[in-house]
Amino acid sequence: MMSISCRTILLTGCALFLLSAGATAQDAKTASDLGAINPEAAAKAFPKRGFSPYAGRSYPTRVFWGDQHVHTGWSVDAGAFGATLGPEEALRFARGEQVTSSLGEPAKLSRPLDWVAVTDHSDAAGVIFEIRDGNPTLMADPVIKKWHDMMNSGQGVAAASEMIAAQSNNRVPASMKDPKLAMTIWQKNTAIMEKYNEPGRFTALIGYEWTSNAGGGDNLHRNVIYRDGKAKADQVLPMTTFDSENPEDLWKWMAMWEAKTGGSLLAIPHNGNLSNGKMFALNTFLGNPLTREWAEARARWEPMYEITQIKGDGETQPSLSPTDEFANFEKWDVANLAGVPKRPGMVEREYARQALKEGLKLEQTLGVNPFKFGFVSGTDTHTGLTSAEEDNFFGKHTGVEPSPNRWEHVVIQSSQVNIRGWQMQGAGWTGVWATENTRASIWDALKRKEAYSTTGPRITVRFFGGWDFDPADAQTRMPAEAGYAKGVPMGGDLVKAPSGKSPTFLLGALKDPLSGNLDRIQIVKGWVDARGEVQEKVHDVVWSGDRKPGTDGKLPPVGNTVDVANANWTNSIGSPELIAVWKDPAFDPALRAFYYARVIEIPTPRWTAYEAKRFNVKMDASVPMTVQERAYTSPIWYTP
Amino acid sequence: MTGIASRSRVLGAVAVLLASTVTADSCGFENPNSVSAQRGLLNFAYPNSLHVTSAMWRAQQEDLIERDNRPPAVKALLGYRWAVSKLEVFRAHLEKAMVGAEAPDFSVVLIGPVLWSRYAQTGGILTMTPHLQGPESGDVVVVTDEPVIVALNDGRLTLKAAGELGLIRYYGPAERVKALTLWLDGQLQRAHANAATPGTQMAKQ
Repeated sequence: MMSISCRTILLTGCALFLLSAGATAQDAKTASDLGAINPEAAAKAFPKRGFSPYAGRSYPTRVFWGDQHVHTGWSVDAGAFGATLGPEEALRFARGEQVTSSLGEPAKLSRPLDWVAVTDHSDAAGVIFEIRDGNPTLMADPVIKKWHDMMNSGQGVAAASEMIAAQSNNRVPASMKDPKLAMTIWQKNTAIMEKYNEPGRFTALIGYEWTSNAGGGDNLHRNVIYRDGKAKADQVLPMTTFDSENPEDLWKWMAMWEAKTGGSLLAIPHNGNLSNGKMFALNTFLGNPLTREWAEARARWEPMYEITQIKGDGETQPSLSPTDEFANFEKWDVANLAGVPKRPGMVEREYARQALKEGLKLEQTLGVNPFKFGFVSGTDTHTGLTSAEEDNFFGKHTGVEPSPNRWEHVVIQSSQVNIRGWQMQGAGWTGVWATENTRASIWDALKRKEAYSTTGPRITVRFFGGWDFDPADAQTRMPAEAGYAKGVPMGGDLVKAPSGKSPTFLLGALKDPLSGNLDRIQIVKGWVDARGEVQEKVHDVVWSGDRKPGTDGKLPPVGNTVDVANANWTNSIGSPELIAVWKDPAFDPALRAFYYARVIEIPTPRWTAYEAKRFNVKMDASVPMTVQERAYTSPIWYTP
Repeated sequence: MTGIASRSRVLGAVAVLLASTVTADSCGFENPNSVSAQRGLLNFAYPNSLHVTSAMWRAQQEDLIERDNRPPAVKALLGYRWAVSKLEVFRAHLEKAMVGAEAPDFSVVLIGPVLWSRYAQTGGILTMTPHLQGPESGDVVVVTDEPVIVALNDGRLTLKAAGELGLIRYYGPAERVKALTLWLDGQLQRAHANAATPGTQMAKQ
């Protein structure tokens, strides 16, 4: 009986196929197998997936790696520290070419990046280079021409002294004050970006850094990133902090720019750990109460946040997350940029996780969450060399490019603060899930927050949220199929929980082939409880080996294979890939929440270990020699 | 604020920044906080002069020149006097080997501490003035560092080799640079030849 039934079905199927083929051939000769096949008709004939599981996918399938925070010698401070590499060298380095550093060292990345944004400080960008290089407009002035000649004949120090004297005596040549000069330099910058922007191969995003220090070293810097090219970028001079140091004025400038050009901008705040309580202050720059309009503007213009970079990690801090054993990571939490020590209450307004929690709370009162941002990393290099590899780290600025003594170099020092070179973090880069390597595609991914931060390693991370993920979704080699079909990717929103359901998350990570294995993947949840208090909890979701959580709920450490003396390690512990589906065990559908994934690598040598071996130097015992690199995904939010 | 006013403030910021590096009458021994900026400006004033920094550690790794392994506290306490003593030994070597040819005046900057000194000949005497703000106008500028001076002093390194290794760089009009390097090379060769001759006393470090 069973055999007959099967045969009947098979024959029926063959008959249908033959009938179908016959009808198609008669109705539309272009769809016949005679001659050329019409692709559109073929697609209609086979609406379901064909042989190739990858055909017809429209979602992002590749991570594009880049850095949206790169300074060159065109930045006044970078130049003052000796950086002579300009935007062109920065782009060549980022796309994988070998260049010579400002200290004369051959420099090359282990692997090319896919994209980069050169973001020199907009204040006086490139002016000294223009004098040195003989800008024709400037050379028409005999005084500037003399300075140019002096700089090129070994009398540069004397030239600088004369420039300073001229400024002090208010005798700066008029041509140096001319906004046309600034526009000339900006257009030169955008021309370089156009030259190196190769759609599909390498993306050079146009950008600059607006460098507000709130008058005293409180770091409120923002990187302004353009979606468009030179034609639109050239229409308006970048905003400087001499126009205003108030972020609200930057947002107004961005709105003005978009209205005038029809283009698109976004701004990415600098890691706030050196802002002395101002990056996520609960009032405006001028000290006024936050409003809905303010919250809308911040959320609109600043969809991403730089969570980690050379000047430390900004996810959280031990006093804010006392039960998080990974919170005390690469911290610069003692002062602002000018060395002004922190006072109690400041760190609460400087770290990303706390800000995400406060954002949920503000949404309850303002109606809009101003701190609804995803995560990126930047190096903030001031050498022109975007380097976030521990064994290939070129440092913050040219004064701390590789040398035997840079670990003890004074970075920030005051009567109460002493930050040394070894405290630089070899970080970080941004992974962007985009459909193609173009300005528009990468910018759009940043705008929708489908991007994530790493401290350097190119860990591939997927993170989806939905209501119906089940463990089987983690048992395929194409988890993104289920991820996009049943949920939202990182940066997305879940709203109004279906009755009786808790959010489920599909999360997976693949190690960087050149870096360490993976220790674990965690989900960090933050929420506002029924009393209106912000809460957080870190969940170990999936981990390597057969470790069992202890009675305190904590997973034992993964171990450590690092051979510090030889700056080496083995991947004999950890796992090359981890994937799981996780369901929130304590979900309350009435409470706002966010979730993000944190991927932790096994310990590997920190840049200091490579340096100690390479230069045969003995550093102080307090200098860390190992690091557990990590990735932070952009969050997924739940709104009742 | 108008555009022009803004530009003025921008340039003012540049000037302030540069002022802190150029007009301060201190070297890195006196003010370690400013030494990076002082050194950085050299790369603009004397293109690629900071390449000496990389050349230095490469030469140290190959044991061509010595590395200063004194603890930071000792360097902070005695570094200036130590450096000046080496510059003085260098002067003494050059002076003792002088055979009548007029010495070109030149300025030396030790790139580690950004310590400027000037060598000038007056009446057959070669003087060395340390701890200056910068070079004298018209001087050839010699960019190097203390371990290179030490190696030149003790004959471990020739001037030619130092140049080829990138451990010493010269800035100024080509003919003056050529004259200086010839003179320095000749003086140092004579100085070390004299030192090798029995009965000749050399200033020892």
